Amino acid sequence: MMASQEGLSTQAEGTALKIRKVTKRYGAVPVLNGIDFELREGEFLTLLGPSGSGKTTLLKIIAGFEHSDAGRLVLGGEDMTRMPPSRRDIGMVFQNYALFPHMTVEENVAFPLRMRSVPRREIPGRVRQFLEMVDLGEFASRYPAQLSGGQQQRVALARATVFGPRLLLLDEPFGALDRRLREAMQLQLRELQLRLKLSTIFITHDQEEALIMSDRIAVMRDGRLQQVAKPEHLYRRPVNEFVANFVGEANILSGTVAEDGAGRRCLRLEGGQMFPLPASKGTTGQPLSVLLRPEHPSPVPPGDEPDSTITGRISKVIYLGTTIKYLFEAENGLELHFRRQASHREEVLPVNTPITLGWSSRDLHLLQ
Amino acid sequence: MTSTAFTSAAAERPFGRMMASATPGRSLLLLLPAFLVLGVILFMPLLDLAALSIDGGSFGPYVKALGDPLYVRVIGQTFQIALISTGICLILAYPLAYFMATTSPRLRILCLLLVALPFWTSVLVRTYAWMVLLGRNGIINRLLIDNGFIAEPLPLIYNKAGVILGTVYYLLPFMVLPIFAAMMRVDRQLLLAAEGLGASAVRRFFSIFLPLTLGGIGAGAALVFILALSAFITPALLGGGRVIMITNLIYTQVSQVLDWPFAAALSVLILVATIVAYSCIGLLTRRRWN
Ligand SMILES: Nc1ncnc2c1ncn2[C@@H]1O[C@H](COP(=O)(O)OP(=O)(O)OP(=O)(O)O)[C@@H](O)[C@H]1O
Ligand SMILES: [Mg+2]
Repeated sequence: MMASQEGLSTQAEGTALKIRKVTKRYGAVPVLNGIDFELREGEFLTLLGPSGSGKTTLLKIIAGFEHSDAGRLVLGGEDMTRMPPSRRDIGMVFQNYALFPHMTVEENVAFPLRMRSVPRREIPGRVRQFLEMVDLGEFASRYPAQLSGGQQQRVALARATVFGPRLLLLDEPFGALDRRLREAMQLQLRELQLRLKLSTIFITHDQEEALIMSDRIAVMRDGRLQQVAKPEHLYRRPVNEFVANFVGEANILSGTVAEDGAGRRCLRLEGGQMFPLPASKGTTGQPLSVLLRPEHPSPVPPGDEPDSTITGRISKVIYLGTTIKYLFEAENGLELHFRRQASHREEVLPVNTPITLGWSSRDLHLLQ
Repeated sequence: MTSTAFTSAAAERPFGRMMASATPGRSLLLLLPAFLVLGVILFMPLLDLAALSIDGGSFGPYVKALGDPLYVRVIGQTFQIALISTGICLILAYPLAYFMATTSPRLRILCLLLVALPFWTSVLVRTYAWMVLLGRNGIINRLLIDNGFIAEPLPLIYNKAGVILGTVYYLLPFMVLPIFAAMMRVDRQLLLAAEGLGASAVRRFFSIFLPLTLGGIGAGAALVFILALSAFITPALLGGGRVIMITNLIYTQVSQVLDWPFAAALSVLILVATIVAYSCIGLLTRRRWN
């Protein structure tokens, strides 16, 4: 499967990091398979993928804690494939923070500056500035054990950014935080990243978090890159079924390419239904899967004639406050999810309501 | 002071937390049996000893111990030997413990067994073994003479070096084990983090690893120093009467000279030295951070 990338050659900004064909195996098990992408200057890129897809391994290779079996890393034009971690100038935030327990907050944040022989006079001011940036000004002389999880997280963030790293890496930094704290931290991280124009690689397996935070998202599966794209691009035009299912909710319709009486290209499902396709791609008889996001099918109002319709009944209703999720079952057994904005003008449809759903062929997205 | 120590220890373990939720009074009750036994078999004889040392309300025995150059020399020598032995133990134990903490689990178990092996035989037997090995007609001297390396036997025992050697050998496990335990507790991720933040291997060691294992060093040093101060068999056998430590002096005072108050005063001096040493080491290696 080829990873698709958009617009790398036409970008205006410089490239912060080039990852070229990085491959890694543990024993006989391949963990990373020809990973190849670029991080732009000041870009926030998220590695998104299920557990075990190789996200942490890739991050460790970039930080230098692991070596790739093959491939190259180029940071700011400099090949650093074999450079020791201490010379890479990369700030990293570990999942469990990895704060030094025997140093105060202040000493923790000063640590990378001391290691870089920053003049002694300059250290306290800089440390203070970064601690204030993460709202920890008054905690400077505490030890990590005396801080809450969220506070420790922010110390780790200050420590990883205080020395002006060329790259910031974060491995599921908010995994241990509760939902509200998590959302606050997401905002704070993004703000800091934009202010400092940090080229950042962020790991998560939470697709919502990835969509909220990122300039671009790189989706990984089993050590392979599936797609690198902007959040809205990834959502609207995923390259394959895996990405479509992993980012947002998806109806996948599978069948073969066919032609209807009017000569239009259609998708013919196994049950025999035909739905017009948006583009006249593919040859007749070729197998094809298309994506239909749950916000596109909707009950057809009288007098309206969308180019695709299907009749059946509501089989399940999930009320989510602002939206309502329905499961629809067609007469021949095909199941579709669809979603409605909750509104006081529209009643919640009860289970078993007979209904005709319709959509426009332009809402379909062809998968590879 | 005791209450903060109690809560911080309790926060680490669920069991401790469970106990802490009961009233402190009730959990103190649990200490009672140990306290009674210790009170009867330890503190009462100690008090008795202290009383004996100032028998008749005079500090004569102390004046004698700290005034007479002969005894001052013995006391000085005792501290010197204990200190040097502790230092050598530390120098030997730290790399060994590091090896054990970083090697494969299998080799680690083997090393642990080897370190603990001496505990399986008595100190007396082991010390005699050293005499067989190092004596005037011992194996080492015999080998060297028979092969023409030396003409006269080397004085390997019955001197300070011999006593220090025996003490180090006897006490090394007491240094290795606490340091090893402290090293096993160090989170490897911290060293990676330090490396990523720009620390060289030397700085990772001095800024992260050493401070985090200082508690183990303190515990080991306290144990070894205190045990070395009060070692009896090792100096008695390997010193051969030429290297006299306080314990040997006490023994002669009790068994031959029959000067019990003087022996008691010497014992109290060791006790005080022990407490002082323990507090100093404790203060130096205290974990301030939790
Ligand atoms: N040191 C190792 N030795 C052997 N296999 C390893 C090692 N580290 C990771 N792996 C394997 O490599 C694969 C990728 O692991 P990795 O930690 O990179 O996944 P991840 O995407 O970060 O997953 P998660 O979301 O659970 O953190 C997994 O199958 C894991 O079992
Ligand atoms: Mg991971």
